[in-house]
Amino acid sequence: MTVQVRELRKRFGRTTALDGLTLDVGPGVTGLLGPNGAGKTTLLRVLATVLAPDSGSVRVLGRDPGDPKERTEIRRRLGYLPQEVGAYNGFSVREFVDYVAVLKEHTDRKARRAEVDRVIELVDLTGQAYTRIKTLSGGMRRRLGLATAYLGDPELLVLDEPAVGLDPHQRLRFREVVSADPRRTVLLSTHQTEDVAALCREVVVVNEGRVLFRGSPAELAASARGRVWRNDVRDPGADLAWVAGDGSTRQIGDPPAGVELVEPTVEDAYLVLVGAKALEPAAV
Amino acid sequence: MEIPVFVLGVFFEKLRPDLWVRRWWARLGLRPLLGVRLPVAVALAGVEARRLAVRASSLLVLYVVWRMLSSSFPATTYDGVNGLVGFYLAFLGIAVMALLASIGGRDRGVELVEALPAAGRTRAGSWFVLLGGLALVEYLLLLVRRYGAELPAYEDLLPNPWELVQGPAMLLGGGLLGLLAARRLPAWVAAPVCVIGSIAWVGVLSGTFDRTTMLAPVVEWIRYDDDPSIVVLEPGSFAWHNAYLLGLCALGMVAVLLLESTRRRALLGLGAVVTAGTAVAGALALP
Repeated sequence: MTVQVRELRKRFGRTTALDGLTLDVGPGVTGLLGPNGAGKTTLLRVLATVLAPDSGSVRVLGRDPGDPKERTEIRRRLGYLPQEVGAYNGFSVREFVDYVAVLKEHTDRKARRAEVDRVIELVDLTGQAYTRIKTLSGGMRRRLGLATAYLGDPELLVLDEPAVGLDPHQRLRFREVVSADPRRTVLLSTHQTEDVAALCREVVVVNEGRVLFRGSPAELAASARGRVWRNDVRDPGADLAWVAGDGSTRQIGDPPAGVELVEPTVEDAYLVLVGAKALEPAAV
Repeated sequence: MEIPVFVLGVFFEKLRPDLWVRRWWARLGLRPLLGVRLPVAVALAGVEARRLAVRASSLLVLYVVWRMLSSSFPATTYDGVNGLVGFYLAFLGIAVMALLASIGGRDRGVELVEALPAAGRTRAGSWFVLLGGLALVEYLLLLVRRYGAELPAYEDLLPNPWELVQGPAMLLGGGLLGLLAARRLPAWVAAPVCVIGSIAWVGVLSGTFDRTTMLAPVVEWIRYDDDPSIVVLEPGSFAWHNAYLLGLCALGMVAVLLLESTRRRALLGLGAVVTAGTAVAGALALP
């Protein structure tokens, strides 16, 4: 396993972000789903070695992030895209990627230049290579962050909401890039259930700092069988209901007898698992 | 005296002084202490230098103007021997430049950068390389100017190579001061504190008490008595004054590394040794 997490706990003041979370992640793309404040970002920050847990054990790429030497070794083999890229506005795209490449210890100038060009092309930013970061759109900044994560072809990619702000074409391109190497371990957090369904070998649903579900997207969808139905009006047993494009009301919860059950999607199953919490604004 | 090459060969191959130094470095706990990866720091310094040259070209222009306007020696008048005083202006300028270049949350708290293998100490080390490189270039220019031109009649009044270190040491120290202020103070406070503090440092020590002049960052090489035709060397030791300045620079480096390091005990020990050395050098510089 590339990532092994046992009984992980992390608190920020009175707020419990991780509450004894246990998780194993192996090669392939694993999606992390959960409502705002579920602890996804905290988990990714711990795995990216930028945050130390209060208790529990973590092994990343077979190493302990708590040990300074092993932490540096993890960082050499890790690509991380945080929620906020924090790129410096005065830099051009190329300058920033080059800067990060140096910090990733690519000290050979010629090889570094080639690597910088490769990752910029990978995320379709070649045309903006000499554009200042402050003029980039949100989606372009996201791709810039993704480019830096891919520097050095890392064994483990930790991506926090990588597809936010991407247009449909770029989102498909993102899926293509992320899924290109099945040997690489990719852990991505997202709110886009369709990305999880299309991309992930495994999906982990997190809520209140704990794992609620772990399995394939198909298994997640199947877990909601018998809990999703369609009717003309909202039924009293529905936890969630919305009017679909065809005018019918799609509902999740305890179906009344005789209604038309429908095949659940990953999104339906996620909503069944997390319930109304999924619709609440961020708590943390 | 020339040392035969084979003696050097035997010295390095058989006795391996490098291993001896490394072993003691490790025994004293100094290896994890500095933690600066030199190849990365050098590459990063190159990136920063290029970026500063392209993006902050006005600073570059200011530097070139200062370079051209700063007084030079040997000159046709005695004033020329005080050429190193011009470095004080650069001291302030470099302090502000380093401050502006490294301020604004650069690297600190940026998660993407925090998750990279080059630690904060290496990133700070790149600034040492950059500032040290600049100081070295200035020192070479000073040497060329000092010894390259035709020597004037008062050649014996001019500083020797060690005493010339005052100028480059001020550049290095100014940069470190700016770096330290940028990492310790909020942006709007750092620049005024740097500049006002530095001017006060010189003003108080040079203006009022002759005895403590040598503890200021800049000391005029010669001074004029009441009779302007009589010039005398500033009392005190310029050689020790420069050791004192380099000690302050080393102290600045330790302070910057302390902000980046999780293993502070050894760094604090090193800081104590450097402080003691600097204090001794400062005391010996006094008349």
